[in-house]
Amino acid sequence: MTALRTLPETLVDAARSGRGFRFLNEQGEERPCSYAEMLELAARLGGALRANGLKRGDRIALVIQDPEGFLTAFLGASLAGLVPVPVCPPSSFGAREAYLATTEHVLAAAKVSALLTAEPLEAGLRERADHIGVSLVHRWDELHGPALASIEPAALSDPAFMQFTSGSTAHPKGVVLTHANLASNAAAICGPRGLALGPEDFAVSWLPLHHDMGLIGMALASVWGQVNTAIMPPVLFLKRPTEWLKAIHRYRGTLSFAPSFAYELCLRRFKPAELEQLDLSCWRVAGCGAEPVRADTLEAFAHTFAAAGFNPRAFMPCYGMAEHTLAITFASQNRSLQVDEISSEALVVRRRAAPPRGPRERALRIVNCGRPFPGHEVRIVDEYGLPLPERAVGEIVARGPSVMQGYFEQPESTARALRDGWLHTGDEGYLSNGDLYVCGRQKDIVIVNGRNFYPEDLEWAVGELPGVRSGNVVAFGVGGLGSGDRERVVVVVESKGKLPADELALEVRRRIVDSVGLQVDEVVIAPSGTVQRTSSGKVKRSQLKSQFESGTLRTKPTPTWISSTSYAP
Amino acid sequence: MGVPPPDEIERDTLTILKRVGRPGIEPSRQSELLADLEFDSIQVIELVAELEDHFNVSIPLNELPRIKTVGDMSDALARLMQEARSAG
Repeated sequence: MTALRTLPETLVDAARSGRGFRFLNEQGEERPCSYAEMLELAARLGGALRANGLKRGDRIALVIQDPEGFLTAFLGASLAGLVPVPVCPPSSFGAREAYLATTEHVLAAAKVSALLTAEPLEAGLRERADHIGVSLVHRWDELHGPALASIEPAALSDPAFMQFTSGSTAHPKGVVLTHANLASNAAAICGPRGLALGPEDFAVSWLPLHHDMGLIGMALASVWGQVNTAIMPPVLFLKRPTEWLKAIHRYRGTLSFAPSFAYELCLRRFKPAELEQLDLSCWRVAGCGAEPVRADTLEAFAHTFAAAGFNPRAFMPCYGMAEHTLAITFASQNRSLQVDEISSEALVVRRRAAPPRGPRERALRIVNCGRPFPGHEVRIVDEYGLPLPERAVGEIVARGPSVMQGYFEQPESTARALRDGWLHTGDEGYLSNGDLYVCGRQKDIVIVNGRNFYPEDLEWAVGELPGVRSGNVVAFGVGGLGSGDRERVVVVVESKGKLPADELALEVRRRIVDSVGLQVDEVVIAPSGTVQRTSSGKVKRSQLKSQFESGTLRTKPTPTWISSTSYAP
Repeated sequence: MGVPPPDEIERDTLTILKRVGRPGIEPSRQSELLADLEFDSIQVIELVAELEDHFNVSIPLNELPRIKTVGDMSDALARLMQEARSAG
């Protein structure tokens, strides 16, 4: 393996390649920006940041929607020896105040010295940043100063950036990644067991850059691999999903990653006439990750887009998480989707991945997510951390040079996640012939459209609503893994007072949309005494979830239109 | 081409809402997109794209936080179309 290089060194290397970015705007118009030009732009911004008093090692938050702006700021900060902290920009959905409050939590947890953003967010963010004493708040495109005379030397063991995709709103956790982490994971992604990148490759991405799959998997891996990459704003994809496929067609794209929901959105929204104009035969790796890989969705996509030359062997399911930089396993290249059909009864009762008993038992369809990379290891362990045999279900743990240093200034959370050198993922799975199958989750998160939601955030949002017995709220996800459908979000509240159940349910739904930006699938209004707690006062979330799934949860009557279980998308 | 009258904008908006939203919804001017019609974030963007195509107007995402009801949406459309016509 070649020697690991820091992120600034990698950009300097890529600047000599003659290749670079193609940035698309919301209208789909292109602006080419070679890696050499990006190096120059980033060096200017890095110089301006230093001229504004920022010092090596300072953390700098980036809240920038525009892909070119984001990457210029990210790489500029890196060249200047700063630690960029990407922060999620507001969604078009939900109340602005709730977004700003959440962002203030992240800025405070990251102890940032500066914040770069863009119109029209600047005013709102400035107020929040001033509140917690962030010294420099600026629009990224209006910060000027002399370009960096030289790149700030960085060691591989220095922090390269901080990822804030873990943790609830009240307790955000910053994943600290070093240059060595980034370089190790990028080498794995680009290498022969990953994408096997070559100079002819062309990556195409619509993924948000504040998220690890878009930032590392697509943008930074392309810099590392010195391949051309076209990057479009997520909203262009969400408005017109086939713009993604058209970009792959136009650039003769070879690599593109997306969560399962993106493939589903293409299926739902393409127009038959568009199929004839597309030639997707160039697409050799269609990565799928960031949420459970849904076999049914991918198979349907392959079936439909075969007419446009899509090769079903292009699918590459992957598994990863921010705490492991990004990628933990990739399925083998150029192999059709491997799906294991297992009995849900054996999974739950015997904790084994076994075939269904007969045709009457509905099988779970679990997708093969492949193997760990060279120099990295994956194991399945029991609750004591002891390795389990093949096809036994347990927690997925990973070890190797991509594992994070820890959560920023959170020794307790770090100690829970990193034990004896192993990263405990909180996900459940099993190995079969050395390949990983992800089939469950121990941690309390719900993933909807590739976004992670924390039940505590939902519970907190509605815990003090009039009509809710104070704090007696439990949220959880159901379905998802292996079932062919996306996860559904259920909120159970104990009611008090005279408010009719349907009105209370509407109020709960409305409050969660406003504060968390999530549309809950089902609100269950339950009588008092439903929510049980442990001796330490924590709600027994998994107990309530099993009651819900088995249909034994007592409810107060709700009109049918409010409960959406019967609704099939 | 002039801007269509407000009642026509509202009528077309309602038709498109029914197509994009879940089956069986009966939207009215007062319906809230998220709370009443249960649109999720992706459906909201889909709705925006459909409305843009239908009315041949661009709806900046900055507008969305201010739009709660169907009425807000059709009012915003009328205003944006008016602005685009006077600028063009």
